[in-house]
Amino acid sequence: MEEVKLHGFWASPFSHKVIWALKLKGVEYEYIEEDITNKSELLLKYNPVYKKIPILVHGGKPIAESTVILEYIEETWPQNPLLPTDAYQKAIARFWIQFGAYEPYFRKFFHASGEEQEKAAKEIFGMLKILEEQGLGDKKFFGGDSINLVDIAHGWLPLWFGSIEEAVGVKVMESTTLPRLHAWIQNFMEVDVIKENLPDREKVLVHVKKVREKFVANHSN
Amino acid sequence: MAEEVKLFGVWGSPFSRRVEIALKIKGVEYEYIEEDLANKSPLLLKYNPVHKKVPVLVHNGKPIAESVVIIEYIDETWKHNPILPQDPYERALTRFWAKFIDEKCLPALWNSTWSKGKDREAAIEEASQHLNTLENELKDKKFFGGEEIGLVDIVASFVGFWFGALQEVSGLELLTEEKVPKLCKWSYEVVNQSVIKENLPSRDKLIAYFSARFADASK
Repeated sequence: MEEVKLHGFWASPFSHKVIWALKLKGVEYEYIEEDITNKSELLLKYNPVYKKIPILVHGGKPIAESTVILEYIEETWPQNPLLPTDAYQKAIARFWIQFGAYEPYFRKFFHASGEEQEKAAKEIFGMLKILEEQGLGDKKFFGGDSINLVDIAHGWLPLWFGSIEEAVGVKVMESTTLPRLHAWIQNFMEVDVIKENLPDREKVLVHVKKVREKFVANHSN
Repeated sequence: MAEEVKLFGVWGSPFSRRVEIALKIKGVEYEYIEEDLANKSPLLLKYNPVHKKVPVLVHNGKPIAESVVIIEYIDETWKHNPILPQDPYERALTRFWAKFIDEKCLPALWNSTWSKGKDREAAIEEASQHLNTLENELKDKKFFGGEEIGLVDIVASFVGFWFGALQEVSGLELLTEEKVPKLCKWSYEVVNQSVIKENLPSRDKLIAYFSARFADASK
């Protein structure tokens, strides 16, 4: 059995997505906490392109980028499948995994204020509306009766985006305007593997606030 | 069972051309529908209501959007002439590089052509770095996919072909033999692969299109 190691950061949603997938598959792994303000030689060796976590190392071979890692986990440990087996359904799942990822409006929402932030909030709302109506629909989870990689991909919303909302003082995920998403959040946070593998919310809020302060300090003139 | 495959695309789009290349590699018969992005067809809006973009593949009435998602679907549905490797680790590396090209290289190369002032300077710097990264990744391989072209080569055809045309129009010199010799050799090899050569837009037409746009943007 080849060794599995995960290099992560306690506050990172991306690290947690990988943890959730490994736990759902029952894969034993060693977790290595990285100090992202003081990156280790090993981190830089394993991910020279981005110099970021998470990095999965299986039998000494490193893989970076959480979505790439998740697909690798799915293909390497097929028990408890986290993607549909049908090619078309799998394509649809991959579409929704990518949806809303790396959009500039998330950064704007976090860093900006006033009109620019309002505009970003509207764009985020628009994206979440499409996600809940067309991605989730009437399902309990994106994966149907149980969570799959699509749920995991959007699993940063409850705790992490929730902390960002609190830090900037603007709420986008209202239960009144995004009822299905709200229901999904309640259900998702109740799943054992998720519930048992989350960072402390208060600590994440403190961390997020610090990151925001630092950005604002560096960019004010 | 009769297979019906349709592809909604745009002649100049590297994203829709990628999908055509994948279909041609697999020898899949398909109907091509050219879209006018200024006047999108009701069918396109029906098949891609979320993004309203090309390419969209419709297989037996079922639509799929997003070029790399489509190519993975094509690879899984028609299994001969594989576009992605079989080994999960090799597949992970392939996906990593395809993502790097789409999320980092393409925007930097695009912005280095079209943005202005400080933004342009920053984009040029970033684009140079990314081209060096690709140069180092190529190492001694003929293609990113090894001896045969694969997903990364198909995705990187933007670098090999479209950016060559953009450079000619903007006068930038980023993709040069001096700076990135392996990448230049690769782009020559890749563009001359018949399945790619026969499925690229006319270089003259592309240059004319970009020149007109560049002239407009400089006003």
